[in-house]
Formats: sequence, structure tokens, C-alpha cells
Amino acid sequence: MTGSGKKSAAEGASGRGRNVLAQAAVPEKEKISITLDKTLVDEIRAHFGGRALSASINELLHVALAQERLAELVSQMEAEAGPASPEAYDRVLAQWFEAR
Amino acid sequence: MVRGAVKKVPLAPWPAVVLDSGGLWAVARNDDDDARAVLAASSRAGVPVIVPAAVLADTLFGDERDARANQVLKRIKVAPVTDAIARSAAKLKRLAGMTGVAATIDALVVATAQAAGGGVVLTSDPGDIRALADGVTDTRIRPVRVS
Repeated sequence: MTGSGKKSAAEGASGRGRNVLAQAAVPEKEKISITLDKTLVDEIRAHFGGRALSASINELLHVALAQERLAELVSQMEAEAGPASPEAYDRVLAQWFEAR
Repeated sequence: MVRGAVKKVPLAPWPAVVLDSGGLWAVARNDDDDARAVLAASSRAGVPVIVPAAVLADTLFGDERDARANQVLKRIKVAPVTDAIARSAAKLKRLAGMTGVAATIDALVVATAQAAGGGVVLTSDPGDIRALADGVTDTRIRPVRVS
């Protein structure tokens, strides 16, 4: 959450991992000109309020790329060892929902 | 996959996945069914998979033995140990009555999960993670055991 109370793009995208993922060192920026669907730009502006459009899109792309990389990792693991069994999903979900 | 079989991957209900040393190596070795389940469900739900930078110092060898771990690290988020996370870890360690370097690394793992809004900690030592997570009251953190 920003000081103005606006949601960051990463928060707005999923709210997941927000404080950890936002705290990496600020990398060098490059100014580019890109063309996006107007409906998409309007939706991002509306969703994130007055927050800078570049910052919102930058964070959304970080989240999207992280998801792509994780999907690659899972695909590679499944290609090597096969998909996880239904029992494995049951075990991990049971541990997540376990009461303290 | 067997032809005609339907692969059903549930959506992860947790907000994040944090790996400790055992979790990182379970993913790198790719010999643990439960680790694959956590990552597949997380990928389907768009959940980030995070390893605290301090875990790398504890886990890696700094030579060619790290090759498989390095392949994993290219595809997940390495989170810095910030001032806030370090302070949270110190508090969690005190609350759990734990001391020592191993406890410090575990506490940084749990504090990172807390900063991420809660989540699953993939670990080979769920007892210590659970003891530290007991000090977290604002989010749900649960260890998932890997071999």
C-alpha cells in the first residue's frame, strides 16, 4: 500500500507476496514508447486510481514474468519426474488448513 | 501422462510460498511429490515462490554443486533481508525461545512469509518453523514437510 492509500499494481494484481516483492532494490529505468489497447490502459488507470501508469504497468509485468518463470519451472519438474499425485495435493492442502 | 487422464491441479489457497534450505533442495533435486504439488498449485493460482537471500548463504556451496539450485533460482524470487524483516525475525526467535545461527535463518524464513502476507513454508524441519510461526498472529503460516 502506498502512502496515499492507493493500491500498488502488485497488490492489486493479486495481493500476494506484496511486501516482499516490492522491497527489492530499484533497478535502472529505460524510457520506451509502447502501444497498448486503450481499453486495457483505461482499466489499469481506473483500477489503480491516480497512481503513475508506468509504475503500475512495471509492477504488473514483474508479477506476470514471475508467473511465467514459475510455470516454466513446474513444466520442467513435471517433464522430469511426472506430475504430483492427487495424494500429494491432499497432503499439502491438509497441512495448510491444519489448525494450530 | 496416460492418454485420456485428466490432470487436476487445485488452486493454491495460500498467498505465498517461502523455501527454506530443505525446501530449496527438494525443489532442486525434484524428488519430492509434495514439493511438486505445492509449486504446481501455486503456479496455477499465480502465487509467488520466494526464497530469502539469507537461505542462499546457508544452503549453497559456491561451486558446481549448486548447478541444480541455480536453475531453480533463475525462476523464483530471491527476497532481500530488509531491516523490517530482520527485526521481525529477531522478535520471532525471542518469542520461540530459540537461539543460534540455524534458528536465525529459520526466523528470517518465517518473517519473510509474514511480510508476504502469510503462506506455506516448504521445509524439511516443520517443527522449528511451526514454533517460530506461532509468534505470528496476523497471518497464517504453515510448514509443509518435504524430504
